[in-house]
Amino acid sequence: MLTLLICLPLLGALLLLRRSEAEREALRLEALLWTLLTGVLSIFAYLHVIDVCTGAPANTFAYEVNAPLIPRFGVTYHLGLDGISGLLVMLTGVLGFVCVQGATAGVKDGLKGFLVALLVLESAILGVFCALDLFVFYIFWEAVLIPMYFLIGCWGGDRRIYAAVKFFLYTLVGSLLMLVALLFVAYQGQQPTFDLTVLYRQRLAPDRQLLPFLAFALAFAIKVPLMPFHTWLPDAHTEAPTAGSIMLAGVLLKMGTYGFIRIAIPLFPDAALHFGPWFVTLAVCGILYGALVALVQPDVKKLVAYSSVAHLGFVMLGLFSFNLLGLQGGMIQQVNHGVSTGALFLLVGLIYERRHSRQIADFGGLFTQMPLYSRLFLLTVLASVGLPGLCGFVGEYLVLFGASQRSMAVAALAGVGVILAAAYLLWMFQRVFYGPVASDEVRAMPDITRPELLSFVPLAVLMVVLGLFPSVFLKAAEPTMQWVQQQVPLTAAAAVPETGSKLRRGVAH
Amino acid sequence: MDFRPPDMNLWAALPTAVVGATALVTLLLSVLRPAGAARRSISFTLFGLALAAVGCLPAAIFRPGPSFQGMLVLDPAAVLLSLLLLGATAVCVLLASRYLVHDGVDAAEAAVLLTLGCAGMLFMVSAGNLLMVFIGLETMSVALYILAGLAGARDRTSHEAALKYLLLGAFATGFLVYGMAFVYGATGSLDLREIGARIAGGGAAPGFLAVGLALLLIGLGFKVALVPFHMWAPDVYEGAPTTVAAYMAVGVKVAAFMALLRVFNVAAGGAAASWQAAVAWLAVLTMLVGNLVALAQTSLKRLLAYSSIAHAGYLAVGLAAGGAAGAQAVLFYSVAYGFMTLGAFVVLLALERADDKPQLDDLRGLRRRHPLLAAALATFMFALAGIPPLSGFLGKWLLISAAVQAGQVPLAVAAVLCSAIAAFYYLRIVVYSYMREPADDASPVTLAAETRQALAACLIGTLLCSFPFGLWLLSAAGWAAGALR
Amino acid sequence: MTPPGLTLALSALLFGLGVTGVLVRRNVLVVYMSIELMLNAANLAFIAFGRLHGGLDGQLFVFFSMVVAAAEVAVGLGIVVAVYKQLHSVDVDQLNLLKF
Repeated sequence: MLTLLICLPLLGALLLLRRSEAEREALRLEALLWTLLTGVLSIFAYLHVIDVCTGAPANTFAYEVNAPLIPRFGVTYHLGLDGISGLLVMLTGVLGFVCVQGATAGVKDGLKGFLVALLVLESAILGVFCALDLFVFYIFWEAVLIPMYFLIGCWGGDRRIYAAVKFFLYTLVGSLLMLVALLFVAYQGQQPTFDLTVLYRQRLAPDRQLLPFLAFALAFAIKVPLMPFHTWLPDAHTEAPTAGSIMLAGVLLKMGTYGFIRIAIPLFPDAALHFGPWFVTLAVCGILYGALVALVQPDVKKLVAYSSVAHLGFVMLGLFSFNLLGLQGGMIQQVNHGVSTGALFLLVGLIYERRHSRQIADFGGLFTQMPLYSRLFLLTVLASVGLPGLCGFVGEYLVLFGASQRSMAVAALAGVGVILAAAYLLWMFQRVFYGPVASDEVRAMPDITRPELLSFVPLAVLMVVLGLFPSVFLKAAEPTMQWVQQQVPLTAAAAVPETGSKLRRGVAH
Repeated sequence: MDFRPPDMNLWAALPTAVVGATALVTLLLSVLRPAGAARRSISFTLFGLALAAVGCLPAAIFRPGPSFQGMLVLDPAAVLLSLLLLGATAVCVLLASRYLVHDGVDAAEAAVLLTLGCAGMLFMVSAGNLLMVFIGLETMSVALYILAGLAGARDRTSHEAALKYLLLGAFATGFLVYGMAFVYGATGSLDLREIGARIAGGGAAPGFLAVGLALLLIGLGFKVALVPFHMWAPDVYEGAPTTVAAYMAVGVKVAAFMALLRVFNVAAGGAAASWQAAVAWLAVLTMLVGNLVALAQTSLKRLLAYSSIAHAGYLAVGLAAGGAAGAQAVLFYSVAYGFMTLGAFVVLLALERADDKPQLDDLRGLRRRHPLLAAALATFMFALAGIPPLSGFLGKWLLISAAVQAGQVPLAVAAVLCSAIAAFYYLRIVVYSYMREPADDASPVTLAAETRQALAACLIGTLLCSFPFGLWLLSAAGWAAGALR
Repeated sequence: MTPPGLTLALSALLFGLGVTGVLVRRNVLVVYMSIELMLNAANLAFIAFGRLHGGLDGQLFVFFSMVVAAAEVAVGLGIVVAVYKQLHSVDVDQLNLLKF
């Protein structure tokens, strides 16, 4: 099942290759069909995951496949989904469809290559989330780079080459060190093994965890991106074509946070705890820095890019508060960010196609020109700033609550970040959509068309569903999250007093 | 008197014999019947190479073991690399029939020399005795000295490259033979198994052995272009006809590394303490210098030359790691490297114009001028950079895991950092061919039939070494490494 | 009867002379002769070690080495002649088309 899911877009890409460049409509429809199939399949997969994983013991995986791949090296073809990866797989499936439906009209030439790259990218990302074996994980993790590199470099903006190379090299350096650490970890036991579920059981001694943890953490932190490693992100986002930005913000960055949840924290809990304060500090710095820079951006897309830095700061803050609330909050927040920021990039892409500008100053008064579009944009902005009832609220609330149990000061600073987020997004909204109509070009901009609307619908549905029924998603992820939380050997002083103990009692392990 | 018939196990000699015979018959035929010799000798040579590849099969099935008093060891590792070398030679013969002929070279002559070189390489990969290593190396080198100078009539640099290669190659041979003399002095044998047994039994004079191994390392280090014995490589690659440069980059390196593996990893494995650190340092130095200097190149041929130097460094990592894991890594990486480097050179040949060497700028907008060629080039570059799921990654994964397994984590870290540097210049090639617009006067690229076939062969080879198909080769390499004794 | 140690010392001296010659001399022919000196030093070492161990392997190697060296010279002189025809010089410093 998971193999099928991973191979489906890849198969689509291969079949697209036989078509000629000239049949634009046919190319687009065929790609749409493949992503639609993948999307539907991924939703079904997640529904099944909810069924299997809610209330199940820790490390229960749906659709588990486990076959030896290279027995001599302990490499296994181990795939499986739980409440965390299942959600991300669904998000990937949905965003794949959204990209092809909503963000391919602007691709003027080389549409075939573009769609092929997009489909290969989707395959690789699905692989990352499904993998339960470090070798397989690493292959997919790095394979993501190639299509994304081409997406940015061939179909991006003016400084696309710089952005593409920067993106590629930044990520590569991090992941190469991860490769060494990965091998180091795999060769610790009597038998080499790359199987994560086996590695969970053979934990390294606390003092030997530090270096491998740092190597993994560097790779993931670059991908997230955590504050000092974030400089590739604004470039990549601004230069990437809309579909690239959606995939990048929507799921690619989640590979980093997912890596922390799935690998870095549970494999090296002692080291994670040891370096925890550093990550919390960096996360808070990221929240504030991202928000402040976003506040002064004249370019809408860049503003959204910096808001990503801030939002992912929240995710990291949640993860490194090491209590169930924070972890769950981080988990759900990363999905929220994927949905709402993906939607923002989509919408920004739509007006860029019409106006060929992303400068806030070039717009104004769009509300009267494009009423439907404006309302959708407002919905997305509100979801992003965390209006209760929409998706952003749950995550931010849980993260703040979790962080406050560790440290009030940190939570307060992060709270400032929430306020700033509301400020820059709403201020941007005001400047773009209200006021006098800026120019004749704006006056000539048509409202959102029906195909574009269709691409937005799945995201809107997700925003509302995630906002109204968060418990469904949280429950499915809870067994794993609880288990991750128990791995971290919090000392009595640092532990969360009542919630932690209550949760601990409830789990048989 | 006790007389034992020599153990002439002809299966073991079959591939080499077929290749040698092919070369000689081609030579004779082209002299005796010059009319139409070019086409005929090319097809005949290709047929002979295919026959030799088939001739490897009985060896793979019957496992003849050491033959001719241990002179020839056609073990699985030798079969694996023999097949690669036969394939590489076939590709080069194909290319020579198209491109060397442009340079005013007789096709039959080129085919004969390439085949003779191949015979030498086959000797080297299946050598069980230092004497065989020496003879194989010289057979190969002498053929290549001539090949490097073949285009001299049209291009002065070709003669110069030949002379440079000759002088430095012969210089290296001096070190090699002197080293062999000392190894012989230390152990009293030229047979690699015997040497291994003496070293393991403590019957070797450590001083002589250390000197001998050091001299051998210098001699073979010249051939595979390990820094600081690499100075000849960029010049010779640039001066020699591109087909020959490709043959050197692939054939010589693979064959000489197999010899290194047999001498150091297998025979002198018991004396690892005396050479392991030296090889590790050479590996680090080679990766660093090769990759850093490659960054500054604008001539594609020089860039590939430095890239192949850097790859010798990666292979040396496997050598330094030692053990079966290291041997497996070297075997796998040799095959993967062979296909991807050969492929890169084929693309280079396709881009070559009458009288200038291809520069980075000539790649501009290749995506529009010839999409398939651009895609192939990108595949080879990503493979060389070691990005999964392509073949280079599986190779690097094996090398690094061998180093980690051997407890040499710093070496592993150095290797990955160097491959991050390498990614930069491989990416630049992709940037030029995909992301820059073609120059106004850029001519469309057309591929000759031979180039297309050669390109297809390299592409298929690279993909077969890539995940997931490469896992077959990976287990085969593991099995062959286990049988190396 | 010369002791093997003395023979070895002579061979080391010859080898050193050869290496120095290659590195110092500029005339291609002299460089080539120096290389031959290195090879013959190795041959001498083989013979000395062969005596030491009492086997035939050492002597055997020398025969092959001589044959191979002859083949190399044949090819090498051919290349030198070809270069001389173009350059009218056998000075290695004149070979400057390819820069290090």
